[in-house]
Amino acid sequence: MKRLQDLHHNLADKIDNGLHSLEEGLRKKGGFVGRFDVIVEGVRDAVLGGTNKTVKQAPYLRDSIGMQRYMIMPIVVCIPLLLMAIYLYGWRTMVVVGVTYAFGVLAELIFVMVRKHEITEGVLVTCMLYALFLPPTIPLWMVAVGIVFAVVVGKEIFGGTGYNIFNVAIVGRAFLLISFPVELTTQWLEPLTFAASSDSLSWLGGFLHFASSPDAATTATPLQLMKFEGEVTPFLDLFLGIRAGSLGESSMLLMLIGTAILVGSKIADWRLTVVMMLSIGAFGQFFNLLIPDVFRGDGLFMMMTGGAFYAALLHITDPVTSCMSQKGKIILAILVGLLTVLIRNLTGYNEGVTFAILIGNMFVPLLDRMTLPKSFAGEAKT
Amino acid sequence: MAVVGGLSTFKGGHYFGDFEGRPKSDLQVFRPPKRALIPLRQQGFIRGEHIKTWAEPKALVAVGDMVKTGQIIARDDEALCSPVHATISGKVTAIESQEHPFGESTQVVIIESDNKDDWVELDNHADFTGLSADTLSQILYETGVTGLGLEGFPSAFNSGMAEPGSIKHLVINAIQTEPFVDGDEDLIYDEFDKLVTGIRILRQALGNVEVHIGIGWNKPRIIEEIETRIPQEWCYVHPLKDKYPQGEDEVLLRTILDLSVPAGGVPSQVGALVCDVQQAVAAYDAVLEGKPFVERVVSVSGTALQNPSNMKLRIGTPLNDFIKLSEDGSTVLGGVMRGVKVADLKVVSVLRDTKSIVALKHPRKALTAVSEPGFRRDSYTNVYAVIPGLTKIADDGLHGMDRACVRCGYCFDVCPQNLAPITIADHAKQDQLEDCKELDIGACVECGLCSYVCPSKIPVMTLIQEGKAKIAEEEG
Repeated sequence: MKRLQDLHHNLADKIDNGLHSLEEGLRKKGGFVGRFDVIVEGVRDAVLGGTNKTVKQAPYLRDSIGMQRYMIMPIVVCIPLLLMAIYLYGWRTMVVVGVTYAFGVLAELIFVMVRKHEITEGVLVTCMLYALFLPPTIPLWMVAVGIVFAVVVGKEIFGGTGYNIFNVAIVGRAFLLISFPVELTTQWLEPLTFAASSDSLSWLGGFLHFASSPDAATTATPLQLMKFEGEVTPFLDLFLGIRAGSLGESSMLLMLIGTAILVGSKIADWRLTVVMMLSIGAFGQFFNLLIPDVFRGDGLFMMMTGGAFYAALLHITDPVTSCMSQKGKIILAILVGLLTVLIRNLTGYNEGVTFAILIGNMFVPLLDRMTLPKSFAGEAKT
Repeated sequence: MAVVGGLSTFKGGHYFGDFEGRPKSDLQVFRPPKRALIPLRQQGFIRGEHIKTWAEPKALVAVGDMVKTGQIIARDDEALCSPVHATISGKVTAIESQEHPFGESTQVVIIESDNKDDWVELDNHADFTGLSADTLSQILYETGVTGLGLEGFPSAFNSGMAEPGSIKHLVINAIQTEPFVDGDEDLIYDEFDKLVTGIRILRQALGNVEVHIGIGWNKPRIIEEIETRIPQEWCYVHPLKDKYPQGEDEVLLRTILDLSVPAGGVPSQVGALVCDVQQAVAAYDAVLEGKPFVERVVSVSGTALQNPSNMKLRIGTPLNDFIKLSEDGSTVLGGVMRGVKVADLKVVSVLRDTKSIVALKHPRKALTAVSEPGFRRDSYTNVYAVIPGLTKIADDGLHGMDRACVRCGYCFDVCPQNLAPITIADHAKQDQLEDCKELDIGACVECGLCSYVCPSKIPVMTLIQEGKAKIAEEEG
């Protein structure tokens, strides 16, 4: 065992030294080629997530969690959602994700090379969240335009991860939603599992297909069905996610598992996820009882449809654009829940959670100032 | 005697688990060293503008003098300090100016041992109950017992910050929650009789005040024992959860007495004085056996040591006498959370208030840091699949890259004083000192948890300390 560990550490040393000398070499060359050193550095950081850097100031004991481990957790949670999306809409999902990553990382790299700061892990999370929140029929060029806009305008012009004021993935989606409303709000597909065939393998659903056939009829999401036709989607379908919608947003079951992982590991604060869901449910139910003609669907329906749970689990919990204090987190979550219910029912955008998060983000600096924790220290005697 | 309030704890904080390299349970007595280095400057944590810097008494001996163990070698009744004692018998070979491990320079008295360990003869009082508070505090002062603790123990000789007579509660801090520190536990079990008598002495020296003992809830036998041994009305035992930093004076007082120490202030401002187990035991030695405070229990532990244990060491013992690093590592004097890294083990010695010396291994590069399950990893979050019951592994690694703050809010959650650590640190970094004061920077107890939890590896506590220093400088 000890020998195996040594072998591993020695291998890590060798790889790191190799990459380090490559980086140094590039830096020495200077000019255009020299700019590529940040890429090597990024690879080095990514491969060797644990550096052997030592602490310089007290405390000399530091938490084992680094930014890479922190940022990989949402991606871990997204993997079941991604598999579900493939199951529902075929392997084209992977192409959408691939295009997102290619263009998102490229945009980040160009900025990193020009501005000469290091590559941060945030872009990897952004790409995943953005891709899974798109409709299955989205044209690939739109995917690319949206993610480049998100990374450049949503993040990099503010200074990179940690300085952006709006959730990066949501900025990309909102941009597409306003620019291309037809593609983003009307082109929904029936999940492939519905196309029952005589094939004995048909239970594999989308895993057998690349995409739905091009002439497949488009359908409506449960929210649209409810709003325009008063039709209620069965509870079990909503819970398992067998319904039309964005790629990864549909399965409540997988999202509940994701909540257990993210909230349980303290990466996402329960004050955001749980309170936002409860807020949507409570306000949905309240307005439904008050004005049933305008606010269709009860609280539970509001919670289980659209991207509500997806946003509550993965978007509002983005630490950079949510409040820091515990009180602020609760207020923000209630606010976003209320906005979601209002936008869904009172405006033309029946998937209101995108704008609710954006508006919520705007309140964060104010909430942060208002909810600063009060020190426990006593009054100074003069 | 009563057990009050059940199990209490405080908001924030962090449970450190059991670390590999914790001291083994038996207390080892280390022989008097060949050479003792005794710094005269008396170090306390300088917190905010209310506390004075501790002073340096004048040396009473000259180079070439012969001294006995326990002889006073420096004393200044005017300055805020306690006398300093020779901790071995022998010859003073040098008095030189040196860098104090906690910063600033100090005179250091160097004594070469004559291998006899001759003690000075002092009166011992087998029956102390007849002694007045003044006599007792004089004995405690002359034996150096008053020099322990954050603000010293008050006496007629200006040895503590409190006015003698202003103290209403004596708090015995018998809980140690910092990783790698459990010297008090050994003292409690080994010297229980001395501890009980020592508490009575300290109480009597303060004029028969109320006594409160904060102790870990996982020692029911000790709690019961105290109950039978101190049956009076004036002693209260508070079982506490072992969450760091429960042992911090401010946090302890808030938990057990609901007293809030003012920002940057000291416990005596709210009428309480915090003493630790070591001080009570030393009070017994001083009064009943006539022994000055020359040796103390230190937790010598960490992953880079072959034989981590609690040791009874003479003050002034150079660290390289008893620390044998098993591999390349760094040695931290004064606890892993708030101590200082020692570069040269030869010139740094055990200080009067050194509770812990930790030697940690350096980390090694690994390919699996992002994906490993981390069965023995230590983290505030639960992203590692830690197996309960296994000891955790600690090293002095940063465990990540320096990144910009992602505003995760962990530092808000762990702060025992309910501050906004990273917000204060940001203001301090940009010299916005008014904002720092508004955010109550002085209330920070410097427990170090904000730096510990930060996934972006921002040295939050260091920035706050720098901010405090800037404020102190600005105000002169």
